[in-house]
Amino acid sequence: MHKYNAYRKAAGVLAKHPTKITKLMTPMLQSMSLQKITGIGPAAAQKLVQEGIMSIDDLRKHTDKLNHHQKIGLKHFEDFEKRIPRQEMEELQDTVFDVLKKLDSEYEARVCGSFRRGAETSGDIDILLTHPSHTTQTKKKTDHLHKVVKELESINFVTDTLSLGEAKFMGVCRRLDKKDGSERLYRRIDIRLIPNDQYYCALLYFTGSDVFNKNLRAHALEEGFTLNEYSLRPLGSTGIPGEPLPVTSEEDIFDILGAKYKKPSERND
Amino acid sequence: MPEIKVQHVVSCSSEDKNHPSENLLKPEGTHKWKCSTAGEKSATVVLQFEKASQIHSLDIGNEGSAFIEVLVGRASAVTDQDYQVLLVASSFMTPTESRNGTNRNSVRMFGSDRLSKTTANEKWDRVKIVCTQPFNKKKKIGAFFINPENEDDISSGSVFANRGKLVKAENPPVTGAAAVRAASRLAEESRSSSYPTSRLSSSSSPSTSKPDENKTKTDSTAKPSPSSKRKHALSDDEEPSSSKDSLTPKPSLRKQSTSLSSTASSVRDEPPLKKTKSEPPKESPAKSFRKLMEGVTFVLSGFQNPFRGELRDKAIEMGAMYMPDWKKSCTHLVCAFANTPKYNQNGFYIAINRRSCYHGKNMDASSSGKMDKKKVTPSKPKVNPAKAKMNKDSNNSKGDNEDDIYGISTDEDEPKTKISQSGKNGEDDDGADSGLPDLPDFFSDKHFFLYGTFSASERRLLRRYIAAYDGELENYMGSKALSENENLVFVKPKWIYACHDKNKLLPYQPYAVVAD
Repeated sequence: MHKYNAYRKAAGVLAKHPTKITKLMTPMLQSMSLQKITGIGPAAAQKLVQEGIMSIDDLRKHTDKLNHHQKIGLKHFEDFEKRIPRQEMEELQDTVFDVLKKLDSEYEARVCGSFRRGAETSGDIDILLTHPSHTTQTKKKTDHLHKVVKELESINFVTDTLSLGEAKFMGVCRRLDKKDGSERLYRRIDIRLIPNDQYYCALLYFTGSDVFNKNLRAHALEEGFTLNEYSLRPLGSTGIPGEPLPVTSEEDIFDILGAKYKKPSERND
Repeated sequence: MPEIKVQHVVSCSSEDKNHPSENLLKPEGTHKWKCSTAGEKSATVVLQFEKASQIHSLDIGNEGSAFIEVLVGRASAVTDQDYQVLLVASSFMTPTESRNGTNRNSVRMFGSDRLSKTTANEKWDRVKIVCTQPFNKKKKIGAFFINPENEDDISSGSVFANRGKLVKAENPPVTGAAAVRAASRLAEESRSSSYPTSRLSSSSSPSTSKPDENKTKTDSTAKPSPSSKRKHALSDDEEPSSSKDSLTPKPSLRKQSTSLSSTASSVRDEPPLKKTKSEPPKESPAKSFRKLMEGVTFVLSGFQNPFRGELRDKAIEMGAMYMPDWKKSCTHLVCAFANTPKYNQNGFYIAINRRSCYHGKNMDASSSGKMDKKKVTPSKPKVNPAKAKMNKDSNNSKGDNEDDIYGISTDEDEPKTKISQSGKNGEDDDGADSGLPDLPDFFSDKHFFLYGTFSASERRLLRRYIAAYDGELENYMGSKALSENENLVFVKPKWIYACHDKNKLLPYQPYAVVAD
């Protein structure tokens, strides 16, 4: 998302400049094409360009220069570029939810992003996960995410792991085999484990859209609150945020802010 | 913790003429301060301390505000910017409560962990309270008390300077009642989390602890109601220490009873009780004064104000929960004399004379029944010598009493010296208190353990009966118990109830569990 914004900004800047500048910036643009691969950011891309690797094809010949994450990104590059139809998103979602249910009925999970807003296609699948036993008060580490990922791997749903920590999993998944020979593309999947008390703020945040979030945050400030992906807090007299308010649903957040509740499908801008 | 004395009100954004800001200087909870008109964006009051002090904790009683923020500054401050946040805007009412006008007088206590560290480490002589209510513009808002306290320093002798800090009892008229209500609500809220916690930590066997544990869990998580959440800070504080003090080497019921009852009795301080016990929970120098009575939920009966208020405040100060009326969750009934209305109504539980302390009929199963029987006959009143002595000069209660409590928590020698006088005085009181019924001990030498799943309430009841009749409840053993004692008999809980009903030992055979 951020990368996308950066492109947009860069494009806007370039558009305002005479063409010769664009020429000077060719290497940078090339590095940008490399950045389409997950795991390759500006720094890595620039380094690769300096080493003479200008395109993704070049890269395939020099995979030794890549780390694990980047290799997977390159391996599934074509698949990752393809949009995921809503129907498949639902299938992927059901697979994950079934596994969660089997592990522990107390898991609560939601697929966020444009899918939740009703989009017909999505770029990747982004899941928020929470469990009542896991809150910000919990001092000890949790292994919920590791357990879940292990289970998803065991049914051959998750095929690769790009990164896995206590709170965030990034990886690759694929529809379960249906035996009808239908195509099974590799898809990017993220799962975030959210402390229970922050779940609804996170859900709101990761559902977006960006523009909607920005507007809602601005509205919150007007009302004397500060809203982020973790919590909703009142602002004190000197502007210092107060205690996080107890939030038990997305509706609560709208309610506290004195705003009319908007369904995810109404949050496209 | 000594209360920091507030000298005067420096300024306030506005005040209702019936509820001026000066009310905040009056004894806590007796009078409110409200802003002059409803719907003010924020209500602010600045108070001047007698001298610059470090603020270690804060107790705040709310009057209709959704959020209260506390800043500190110095008299030398020129602008508002010189104030620094001590307590970030903290919620006292949820939006729903605000709109409905419910829970307008909640009380919250903020320990040092909730205050801004950098600010709390410095000395300040002014405090600014900012109340806001963005959810309801139709009500006047304010506060009814604010209690800054400085470093926890029991030896200063001023421990009780802030008597009545949480609740000022029913004696101050109208508004005091609000404080009382608030406090009892507070107690109730926290009871849900703290009470099971203390049980949990004290219950001995894995089997016993399980249901409780579940209960705790559901209490604290399943209903993330704002109120329970709001109480979190406090219960968090309590948990570690309660588990620390009640679970020492071998966690058996016996041990638990010792610690629980002594915590209980230490309030009314009972040196002899403490000393006669095999393992007095005297890890307590480390144990915070405020947590001495943790896990105790008590009801007062037969006491007149102002003494009633004092008693309650002291107990609350030491971490006990106060209930206006008897509830299932209560652990102690504190009676001024036998046969008070509440005593008759309940007929048992630990009855503590205001001076002497005796353990009545049943007691809280988990607590002292057991120990009593071993040391003293069940219904024989235990008399606190020191208090008994005081009984005689009843008017001078206050001073002495303070000394006593104080002695327990800080001074190890004092109780010992008191023991020596105990015997005689104790007997004096015996006569007066023997109205308590005798408890048979037909379960003597019988060892029990609870096998299988019981509901929390049933388990509690069983434990009480077993302890009351001098049985011994063992740690959970599971099936390996048979290998330890092949004569083990499996009986249905009914047997115990039946024994209780008939008040004698019945043959267990009709109640035996027979293998299919």
